[in-house]
Amino acid sequence: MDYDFASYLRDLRTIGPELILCGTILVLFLVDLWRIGRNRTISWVLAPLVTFAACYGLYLVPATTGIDVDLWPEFLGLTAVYAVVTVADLRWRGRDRWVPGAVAVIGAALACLRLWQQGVEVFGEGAAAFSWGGLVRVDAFGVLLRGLACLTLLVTSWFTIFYAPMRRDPGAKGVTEFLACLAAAAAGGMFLVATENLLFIYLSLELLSLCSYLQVGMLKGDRRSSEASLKYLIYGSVASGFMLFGFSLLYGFSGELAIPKIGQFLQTMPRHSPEGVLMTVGVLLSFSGFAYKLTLVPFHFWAPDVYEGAPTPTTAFLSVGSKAVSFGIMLRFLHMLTGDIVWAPGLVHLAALAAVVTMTYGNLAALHQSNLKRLFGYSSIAHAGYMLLGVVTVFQFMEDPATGLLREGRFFGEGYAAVLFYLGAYLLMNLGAFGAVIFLANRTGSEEIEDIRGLGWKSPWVGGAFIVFLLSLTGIPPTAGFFAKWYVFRAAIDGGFLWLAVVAGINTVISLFYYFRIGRMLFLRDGSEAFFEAPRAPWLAAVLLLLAFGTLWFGVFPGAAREVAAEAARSLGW
Amino acid sequence: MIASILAVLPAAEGIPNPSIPTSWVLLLAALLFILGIYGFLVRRDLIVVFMSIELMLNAANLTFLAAARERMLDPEGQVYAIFVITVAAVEAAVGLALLIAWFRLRATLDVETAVELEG
Amino acid sequence: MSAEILAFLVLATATVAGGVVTLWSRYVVHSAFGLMLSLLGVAGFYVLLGSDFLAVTQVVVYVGGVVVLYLFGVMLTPPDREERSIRRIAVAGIFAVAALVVLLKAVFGMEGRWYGVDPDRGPASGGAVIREVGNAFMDKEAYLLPFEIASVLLLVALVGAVFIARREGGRGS
Repeated sequence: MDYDFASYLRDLRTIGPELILCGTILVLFLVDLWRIGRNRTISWVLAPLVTFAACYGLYLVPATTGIDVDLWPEFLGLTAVYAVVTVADLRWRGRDRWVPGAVAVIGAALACLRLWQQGVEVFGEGAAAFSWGGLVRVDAFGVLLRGLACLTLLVTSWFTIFYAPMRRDPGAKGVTEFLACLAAAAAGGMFLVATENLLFIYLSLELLSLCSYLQVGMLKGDRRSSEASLKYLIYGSVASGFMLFGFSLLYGFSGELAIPKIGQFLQTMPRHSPEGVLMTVGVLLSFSGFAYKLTLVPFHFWAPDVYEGAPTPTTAFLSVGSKAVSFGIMLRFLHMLTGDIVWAPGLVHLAALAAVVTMTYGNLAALHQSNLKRLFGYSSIAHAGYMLLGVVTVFQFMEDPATGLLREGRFFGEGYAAVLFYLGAYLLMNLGAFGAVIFLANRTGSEEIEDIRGLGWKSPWVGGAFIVFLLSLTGIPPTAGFFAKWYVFRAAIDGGFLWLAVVAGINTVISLFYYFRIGRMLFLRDGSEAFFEAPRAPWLAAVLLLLAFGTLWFGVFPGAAREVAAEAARSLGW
Repeated sequence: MIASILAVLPAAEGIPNPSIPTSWVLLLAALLFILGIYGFLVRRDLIVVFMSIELMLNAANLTFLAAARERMLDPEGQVYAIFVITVAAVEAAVGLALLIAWFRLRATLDVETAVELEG
Repeated sequence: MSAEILAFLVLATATVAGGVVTLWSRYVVHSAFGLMLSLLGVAGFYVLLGSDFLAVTQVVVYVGGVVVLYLFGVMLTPPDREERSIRRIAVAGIFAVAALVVLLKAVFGMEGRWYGVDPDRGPASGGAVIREVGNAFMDKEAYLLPFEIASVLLLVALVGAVFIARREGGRGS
């Protein structure tokens, strides 16, 4: 067979960020191998050898093929990894517990850089490009959501370096395995939003889920972590079984695996025929799989336990990255129902009901929580409900004035743009909040709200950043969270769901109580003095300040980000 | 009765074993799927719950292959089924690892706490 | 009644009976063997449906691998005392029967119209389709990428599973 090398390179380039993450996983395992025997000689021989071999490969590709490919970020990253490993060996022998984290951060940063380059190319072009025989779709929407997943990975691997339960002995505590799972989960999530093929959706969703189950259980010896991972796995497998059966029905009756083609088929087939009923069952089963990932009531019951039991970086990843890509794939799936006026209105009303129940349940249950992570777990459920508000308004239906019947549905981009903006703002504020939880828990050794009494005065910078995140999560200006809610509510009102916006407004007021409770506890004067002096973590605090700055920045100048979100929504192709 | 159903559902020519209607296979797949859900809802023994999940995945595979046969052995459905088998095997391995870790922790809870105090 | 119909009925009985044993048996080992019967029945269906390769894969991976893994799991974990709740059985049973009625109605109402049938695709034999599947896995324009991603999944998930299942966190440091 004749292989066209140039087309291979072109296709590889479209999934460059994910490839970098896969390479990062391999490097993580290799670095771990070097550390196992504490045999420094092997490390000294192998580290340069592997690095030079890889760098030579990077040089070889353009040199032998004559194709102009730009590989300098990868080259730079490999060199940086080599520097990290050897310098750690030379300078901090035996105390180099941050090495796996540093490698993961370098990999994630490279992937982000590549995505940025891809984004610059894609935004402004408009049309979607396909590669890998139509499996991978490169459009602004996909690049934006992949960017969110990749940024989440970057920040959470940074958090992992400072996460106390994994700090003491990285070998014994499985930091390498943890980071590999984190990177693989992020790569799975990125593939998930880059494709519209049912097979690839299933595979990447399973990559995301299986690696998430493993991460949750990585705190060995912790009963809560073990229980949480088992619970997550069982319910998650059932949800993916539902989804898979739904996919099999969709494939069975349409004979297609690509979402747009299934969508065309749905619009042409008689919907009240038995085949139509089975197709509808397939669509509903598929959505139940996504609803599980999104913690929508009634598929939410795993969330509080898992968020509490998991290592905090994982909790942050699940509540931000995993949720962002799941929303992404759900929006892509809704795409195929556009123009289908037989079932889409019913689905929209179902989604509206789910939004109301989800946000109300999340907020009411969060009111009386004593554990910080559990509280943020419920708050995350509530936020999924707010985001669903934007999804509800995705379609607008025209009523025929003569008969009062629905005439045609049309896509309403405002809702999509609002959800995407919300996901971005949520990334900043929720990652920040979990980072602050890690910072405070390192000082107190506990994650109870009672125990952070007065800590805001002890570390004023982090305390101040935490307040910014809480304000943003509540939705108070001038923070990104305010505009996120504002856009979503406005989309709901414009889309004819005024009552939904009112319910969401009431929910925002409820959420004020528990967010305010954390802030009050943080700056309560009579702080207990019974916490240990943990090693200072100025670099963790620096990232928190950066996230807080971002939250404020997008709270004051939301326009540009909003434009980006709108363009991404348009790129879905209507 | 069987003959009457067969008469209603003529199978396409040229596919393997055309005398077996695809809808029968779909029905059996649905039955397996429902059995899986039933097991998940009723049983509390975790290993049996895992087995119910396997039944659900097999139901999906059966649907894929039945649909692929109806389209002259479409390779897409077969490829999908192979991926599902792969993922199911990984899922079983991960599930049992978590299960073993959990049972070990439950059995030796007091010993574990002692270790934690030591380190 | 032709031989194929007979084979179908035998396999259907085996599959469903295996599934019922899996769900109903009080002994986990019996459940595992019920699952094995059910999965073998499904493998038989794959043969009937013309996917011989899938049938072999099913036997090797599922019956040879996954069920054995479950048996190991049964041996490595203590038996779980379980109360049989009548209420739960009743609720799940009602749900199952309702779902079954809907599906029965839909499936028997089907008119046998199959969409997406490629008119140019001639009658296929089992041997030709194996070649097609193999090519699809290795073809950049088909499913090469998922094939490679599956290897990433296997690597990471199995390393993680080994780490979690290992006794104690240490690795002899």
